[in-house]
Order: sequence, then C-alpha cells, then structure tokens
Amino acid sequence: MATNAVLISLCSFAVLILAYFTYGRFLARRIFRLDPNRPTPAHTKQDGVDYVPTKIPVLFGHHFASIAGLGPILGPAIAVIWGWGPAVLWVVCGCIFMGAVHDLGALTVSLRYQGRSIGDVCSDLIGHRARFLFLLIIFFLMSLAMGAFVNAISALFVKFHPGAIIPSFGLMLVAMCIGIAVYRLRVGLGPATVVGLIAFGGLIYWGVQQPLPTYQWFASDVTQQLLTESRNAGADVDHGSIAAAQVLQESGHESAAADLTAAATTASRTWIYVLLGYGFIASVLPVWLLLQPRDYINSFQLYLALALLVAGLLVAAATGSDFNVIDAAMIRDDPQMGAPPMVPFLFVTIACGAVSGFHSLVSSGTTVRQLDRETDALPIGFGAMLTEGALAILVIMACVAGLGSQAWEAGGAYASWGGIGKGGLGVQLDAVIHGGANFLSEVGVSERFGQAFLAVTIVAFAMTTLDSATRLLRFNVEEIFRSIKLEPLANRYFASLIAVGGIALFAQPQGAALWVLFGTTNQLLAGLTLLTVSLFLFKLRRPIIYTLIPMGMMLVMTAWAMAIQLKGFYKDEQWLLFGVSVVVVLMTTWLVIEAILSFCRGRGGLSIAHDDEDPHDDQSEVVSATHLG
Amino acid sequence: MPSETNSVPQVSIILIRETAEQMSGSGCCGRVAGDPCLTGSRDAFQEVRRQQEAFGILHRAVVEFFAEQQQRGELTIVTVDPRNQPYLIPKLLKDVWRYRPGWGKGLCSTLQFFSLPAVIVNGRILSRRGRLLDPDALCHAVNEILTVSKAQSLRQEYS
Repeated sequence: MATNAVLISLCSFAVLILAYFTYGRFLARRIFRLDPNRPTPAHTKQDGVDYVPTKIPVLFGHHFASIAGLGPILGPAIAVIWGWGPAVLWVVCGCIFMGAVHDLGALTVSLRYQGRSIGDVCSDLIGHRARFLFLLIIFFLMSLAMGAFVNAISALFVKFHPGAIIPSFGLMLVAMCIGIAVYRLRVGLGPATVVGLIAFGGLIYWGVQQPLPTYQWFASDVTQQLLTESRNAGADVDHGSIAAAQVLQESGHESAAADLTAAATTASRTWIYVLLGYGFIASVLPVWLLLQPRDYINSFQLYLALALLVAGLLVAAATGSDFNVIDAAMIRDDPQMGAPPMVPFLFVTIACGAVSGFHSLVSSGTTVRQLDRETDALPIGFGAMLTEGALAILVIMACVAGLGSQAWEAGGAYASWGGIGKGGLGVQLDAVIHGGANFLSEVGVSERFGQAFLAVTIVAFAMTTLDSATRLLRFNVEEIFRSIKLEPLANRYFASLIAVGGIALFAQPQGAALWVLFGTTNQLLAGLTLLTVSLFLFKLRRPIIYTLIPMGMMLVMTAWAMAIQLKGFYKDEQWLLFGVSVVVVLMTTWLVIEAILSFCRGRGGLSIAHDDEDPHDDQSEVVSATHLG
Repeated sequence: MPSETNSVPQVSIILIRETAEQMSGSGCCGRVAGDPCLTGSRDAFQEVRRQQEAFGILHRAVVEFFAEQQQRGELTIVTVDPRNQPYLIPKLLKDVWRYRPGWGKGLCSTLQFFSLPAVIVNGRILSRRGRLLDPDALCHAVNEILTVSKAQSLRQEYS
C-alpha cells in the first residue's frame, strides 16, 4: 500500500503538539520550574531597548523568524537518502527530546542569569576555558556554514536552476531600492512592500523566461553551437548543465557532453568567486541599504513558501494526487548506495530541524530579554523549536513524495550518496525545490514559476547569511588586529578580505562531507549548551537526566561521525577537511573533559539568586499550573 | 508584572522598529545576536541600535508616566519588528476596528502608509516620515486620549 504523505505529516504534527502539552509542560513545571510570578529580566531591567516585555504571539514571530532558515531545509534533504522513516523519526524525536529541551533550557538558564548570553553563562558555570571553546566552535560553525552555502548556491545556479540567477540578483536591486525608499526617502512601508513584492514576482517571471545558462559561456564553440541547435529544435537545455549534458549525450554528442560538464565545473568555481566577491561588497555596505530590506523581503518569502507548501500538500491529499504518495522506501540500507552508515550520520546530517546549537545564541541573546513571564519560555523556546521540526517534516515530504519516483530509481538524485555529493549540495536543494514546486503546482502555481520562487527564496536566505556572517567575521578580524596593536590593518576593507578568505577556504566542492562537518560542529555547540543547562540543574539539585542524555548523545554521535570521517578524509587526502575534523574531535574531547571536571567540582559556586533552590510550594505550583496548563 | 485584565485598554501603542541588532533572515546559521564577543566590541549595527535607543526613551517615558494606567490595563504597549507581518497586520486592523480613528487615518494605518520607525496610537500614525515623537508629545497625546475616554465614561455613567 502506498504511504500517504499528508497522513505522515499530520501524524508527525500531532505528536509534536502532544509533546508540547505533555513533555514540554512537564519540563517547564517540574524541571525548570518556571514561575509566572518571578519577575523576568524584561521587567526588572526594562529599558525599552533590549529589555522589553513582549506578548507571546509577537515574540514567537520574532523568535521563529530567527531560528528558521536554510538549516532545516538542507539537512533533511540530504538525510532522506536513508529513507523517510529514520528522517521523520529523528526530526520528531530529536525535536521533542533534544532540540526543544535545548532551546527551553538555554532560555531558562539565561533567564535566571538576568538575560546574559549562553556564552557568558557557560563561562560562569564551567569556566573561562569553556568560553574560549564556545567562541572557537562558533568560528568554525560560521565558516563551515558559509562554505556550504556558497557551494550550494553556485551548484544551484549552474547545474540546476539558471533561471534563478536574474531574480536572485534582481532581488538585491529591489531590496536596495526598498532600503533607500523606506530608510532614506521615508516612503510608507506598505506601498514600498507592495511595489517590492510585485517587482519580485516580475523578476521571477523574467528569470523563468530568460534563464542564464552560465555553463555555456565556458564551453567550446562546438558545444555552444550544439546547445543552440538543440534549443532551437525544442530540447529543454535551460534546466541547468546536468539536464543539458544529458540532452547532448542522448543525441550522441558524448564529447560535447563531457566538455559541457567540464565547463559547468569552471562556471561553478567562477560563481564561488563571484559570491565571495558579493560577500565582500555586501559586508561593507551599510545595513539599511541591503541587509535590512532584503531581510524584510525574506520574511515574506518564508511565510509564503510555508503557507503554499502546506496548502499544496493538503490539496494533493484532497484530490488524490500522485504527489501525496511517498515514493521513497521507508528505510534504505543498501550498501550499493555508497552512503555512510545511517548511525551516526543521520544524527549529524539533520542538525537544524532536530537540534541546533545555534538556537542557544538566539534564545539567550535576544529572546530572553523580551520574555514577559517565565512561563512564556514554554511556547517560545519549546514551541518554536517544534514548529521548526514541522518545517523539516514538510521538507522531507517535498523530497520523498513531491519529487516523484524517478528520483529514487537508478540515475536519480537519491540513487546513491555519490549522486548526492556530485552536485555540491545543489542536488539536495534541487530536490527540495523540485518536490516543493510539485506541491505548489497543486494550488495552481506553474511548475517552472514555483521552482524559480523556491530557488530564489533559498538563495536569498543563503545570501543574507553570507552577508551577515562576512560582516560579523569582519568585525572579529578588526578586533583581533586592534588587540595585537596593528591598527592600520583593522580597516573594514582589509578585514573583509580576510573574512572572505576564511570562508573561501571552506567553499570547496565536497558537498555532503562539508555539510556533515557543519552538522557535527552545530551539535557540538548544542552539547556545550546542554552541559551548561545540566550543570545549572545539578547545582540546584534538580534532575539532570533530561538534559544529560541529549548532551551525551550529541557528543557520542559527533565523535563517532568524526572518527569515520577522519579515516575517509585521510584516505582521500582531503587535508583541509581532515584538519577541521581533527579540530572538531579535539573540541569534543575538550568538552567531555570540561563536563567531567565541572561535575567533579560539586554543587557550589552558583552565582545567581538562591530562590531557585527553594522547593516549589503548593501555591506556586498551582499558579504555575494555571499558566502552563 | 503585567496585570490581568479582560477589559479593552483605552490606549494601544504600537512601536514598530527592528527588534534585534543582528539582522539576518537566514535564521539557524547566520544570526549571532546578543553576545558582544561575537559581534565585536563595536556595535555591528549602529543605525539599528540608535533607533532602538530612541525608542527606548519613548517606551520608558510612557511606562513611567502612565505606570498606574498600565497596571490597571488601561494602556498597552507593544514593540513589533516590521518583519513580523503575521502579527502586525491583524494588530493594526484590530486597533483601527476597535478605536475607529476615522476612514483616512484608519486606511493609512492598515495599508501601512508609515515610514520606519513608526509609532501608532489607537490606530493613528503619530510619527511623521520616520521622525520619532518627542516623549513629551507622546505622553501628551496618550494623556489626551485617556482624559477624553474618562470624560466619556463619566458621561455615560451619569446619563
């Protein structure tokens, strides 16, 4: 019997909702002991700037927009290679027992530390070395994520969606116009938004009508001639270099197909340089000109894409469409596939979407300072993470049902791990785009328009990340130069160059391997946060099993995956990735030692108010229960 | 702590400004907010920060001046990020419907004919072309609404 995608999605959502009302409430009441009457930093330090008491719906929107992005899209799109069952199971269970616990824990600990960041708190609870480890992990995490994103966008532009190039870059111009209109000419937000969104739609239409096959620019004259002839004959050669090479191969021009593949590799490399150049320019531009307005448009793209995906899936179910049928196997454990072992790699491949260390930065840095009541931490911390899990489930369904059965057959995108890697992360994004567009076609959006919309949305997310990460790395580099008394080098242009150079190191076409490295580093950060939360609970004599087990699992999976990766990188002589893996292994070992030392130090040294140590009396339990349900 | 009330507040203030210093729609992997060590000692997003601080003055002025009214639930303040449209659009519609600022002003608010950053009181845009109000002017405007509302309720009571 065919498996129903909507049914699996709805069941997953139901489990997530059930977990919120059971496990979430249990943690909030019994473990973290959230008390609606204890003043939050938003009240005690209220300044209207950082510390602002904010209602749940407002804060939920801000927090969710901060944690949802490209991470929960790419990871699940890779991990479905092991089948939809393990991916769904890990997203649901990981979200409930690890990710949401991690986010709620980070929020609660930071709450008790008067809104201090998790990095500060871990320095307080574990020691200064932990603070350094924290910064080190962040540095690797950002560089790896940027490398992976640059890699993915270039593959997408060349190999799969040349139609996304014009709208992606056009969107930058639109964003800049909105930036000037809203922040300098003081035009109304509503009219500027409407004009911007219409322009965005127009750009997508233009992109669909006029794809830019940049791979063709690097091909020989003969190949170009053949492509033009094929195009004139009505062949679909505008769907990226892989489709074009296939057309040439099928028409018997094998040498031209080989030439085209080589040209595509050169084009991808060129795009990587262009994107790094973009990162450099964008990071020195004022934020109001590009980053802020594009971020604003991104939020519309995110909500629109989510709404259309859900609507498409529901319509597919109602009409009995083929896109509601899961084509992938529930579990794929075929050694012919050439994929690394599912355990531990599944757990590090899906990081965001199940558990993400990055969320601790958002939870503890910004969100915590706006919590109106302590009990709001449950819907914000726990609830937003579960919502991100729901987004990951949608992505899984787009890949396993929306993509069609040919993706899972020989020669399809998911036929082998090699196939996944060959597009340099572009394959996974293409799978999401293709599958998602099929869902969108159920609600009347044409397939090509839907593909371009999703491709541009994903590229816009990645580019905003590249822009802000380069900017942040630039600030860090400037700081370093200042601290070593090299003031003349601490200028924005030189520092940006260094930052871009750092990202370029990781922008290699290793595809899935790069993503796995990113995942392990992200899980390591989650492990460090969970250690901080566990120590906090330990010092308050509360049960630590609920945070210690996820922490242990994160560390075991990270170390295990790294050990396997190390062997492979050494054998393939991929020295950069080998070096990064060694650093990740060392950081994991360091974290384990810190954890043991911290617990050995005992329960003393808690620098926060000790009212936490008081057991909940009956009355406060009743009040807490009223708010938490 | 916020007070519990079921009655409709007499004044609803919406402050629209970016809520985080670190702007990034990429979420998961790009937002490094809140930790000065990560963004460098210099403020990475100075202009946003300046706006936030200007709003802080307004926010504090209203909170301090109308502390009692806020406690009684007669006044609510909400700070919204312009990106949070799923909250902002219904909130603007609700305020315009509830406080009836007039057709023109109501349309201006709901269609978002305001530039950023913006201050909206009872469905009426009080900021002009992105220039923030003077805290005194905002308190004065709020006080006026409260006085009118009080007079109306007294009139209703006597009639």
